[in-house]
Amino acid sequence: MQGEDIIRIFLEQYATQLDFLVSAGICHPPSIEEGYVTKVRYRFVNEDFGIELSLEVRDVAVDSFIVLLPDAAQLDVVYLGRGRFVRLFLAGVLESLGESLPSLPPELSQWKSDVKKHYKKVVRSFRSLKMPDTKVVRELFRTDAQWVAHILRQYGKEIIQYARNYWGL
Amino acid sequence: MLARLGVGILNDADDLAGGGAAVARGARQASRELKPVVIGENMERVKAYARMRGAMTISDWIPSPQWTFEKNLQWVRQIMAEGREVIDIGPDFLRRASTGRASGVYEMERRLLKGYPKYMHDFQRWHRLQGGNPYVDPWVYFLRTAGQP
Repeated sequence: MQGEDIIRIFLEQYATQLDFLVSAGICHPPSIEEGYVTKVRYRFVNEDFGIELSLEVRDVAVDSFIVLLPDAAQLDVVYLGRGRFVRLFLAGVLESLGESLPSLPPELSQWKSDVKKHYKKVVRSFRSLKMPDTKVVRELFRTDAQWVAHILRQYGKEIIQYARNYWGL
Repeated sequence: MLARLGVGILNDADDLAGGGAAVARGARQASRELKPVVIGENMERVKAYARMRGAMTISDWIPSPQWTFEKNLQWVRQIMAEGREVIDIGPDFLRRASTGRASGVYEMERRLLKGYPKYMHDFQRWHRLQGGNPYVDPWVYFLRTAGQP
């Protein structure tokens, strides 16, 4: 297994789980940016922001963000641009929303715990100076992508409203 | 290019009495001419910093589709053997705080580089999950000025 296999599994698993965003008319078809960090961005319809899944090949790990576009796509903007965050960790947004949505905190904890369980296997491989198995990577990405899809189905409207308020749109 | 440089150094050493000194001089010169290498957690930060400093990153040696853990390991050994300066811009504290995840590969790089004389740090850390590099983590200062710890 090498980088291209990790990228392929990432694109395959997240596209499968998040396809509903496009078919339901919630988002535009995704744009893909490949590199050491491979990014898939779904822009919400009629909004200047979207969801970004960002894979760091070297870590075999995916971060989910709500991103302000096109600011977040600029070359040197990692998190902050023009004095404000242009990337918000989805988990961070959910923590804020959890204060008013009581069903959310237990789901967020379960998401983190499920992903951590799979990610431990990746870390174990690295500690043995080996690449993780394809099966381990696929299970990790599938689990995370299923949770992201679930969260967007359940709390998509609240997330969009939060982003509008945050960026004053 | 390195191979050519190596041949040149050996020829100098053969031609001159006290060839060892010539080799050492050549190695020092070669080391000065080599661009520094940037490492750190989160390749977006690493690449942004390297662009600003005119430095190099692992992506200049190993394209991401060909990346493996083993190649990464060999790469660290190679840059040390070449005598390059290595600048470590530190962990991605924001990501660590948000995801609870630290990069296993970056940890491996740090372990290998420990004790290497040309290994420099360019980041601050004032708490387990707080710190950063001002060039690529301006949020550090943003948070501080916003009155957060």
